[in-house]
Amino acid sequence: MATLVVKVTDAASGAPLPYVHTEVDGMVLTTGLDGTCSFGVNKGTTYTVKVRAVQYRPFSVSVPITQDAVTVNAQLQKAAL
Amino acid sequence: MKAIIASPFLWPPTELTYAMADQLETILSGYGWEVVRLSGPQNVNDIFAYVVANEPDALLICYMGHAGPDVLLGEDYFDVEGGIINVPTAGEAKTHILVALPACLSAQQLGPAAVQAGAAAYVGSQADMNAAFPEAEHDYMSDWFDYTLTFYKSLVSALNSGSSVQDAVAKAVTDYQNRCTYYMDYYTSNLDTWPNADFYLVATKQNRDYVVSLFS
Repeated sequence: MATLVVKVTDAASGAPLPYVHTEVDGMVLTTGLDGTCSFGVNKGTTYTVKVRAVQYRPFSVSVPITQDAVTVNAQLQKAAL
Repeated sequence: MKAIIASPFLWPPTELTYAMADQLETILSGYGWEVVRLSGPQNVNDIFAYVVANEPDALLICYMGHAGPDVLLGEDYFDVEGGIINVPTAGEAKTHILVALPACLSAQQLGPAAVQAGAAAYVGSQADMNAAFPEAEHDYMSDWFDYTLTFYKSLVSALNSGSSVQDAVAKAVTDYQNRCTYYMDYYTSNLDTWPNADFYLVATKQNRDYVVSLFS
């Protein structure tokens, strides 16, 4: 097993975004107050990470798990007018 | 005929609405309309009120940018000075057609205040409106430009044909919503292969369902 950490921040301010819907190949978690959440994943596998937050541009990326711990920085851009 | 386009360029995603306003200006000119453009820092109340007061024959005022329930923010992102127009200054829209599209929330309070103060019509959203972006799998921004500008094309085409304000606005809203639905169907058919289609399906539905038209 390996750990995939998703860190969600506001792209403009750098502030962590809590309570954000984060999805890794069907596994769903919500970010904590520090804007992060951690998934248990299999080393050698590629996962699709999706982050969805109200008023922000969606974030989707494919991540190959090549180490015991991998971090994805999801810097979300404002979408709401 | 004449229109005023107000397009601040201050805070993401106004870089996109500013580009949309560029296209709108070209479209209106193509329909034979004269355009007065308030660009970037001109989008403050003093300048807006002056221009509107001095362009009494401008039938249409188009706003593209940030807004709140009671204000079109313009370059006043933190609403310190009441944006370019708000509920207390709503009468400055005079008898024009005021369209806040795309812009968040303004049909909640500003729209009713504007038509109560004499605006011929107000078109805006009762909810947040979302920008769309060019993603790796598909250019959702292009779709967003297309369905939003469909509203304006339909509106000015109907007005050019001599339709009443109410009929022209009603037709434009219907054409806009139908175009949104077209893209929603497109995204639904690609949900399995486009990683961001789920978001843009919901965003387009929200952009469609909460747009309303109000009349004096």
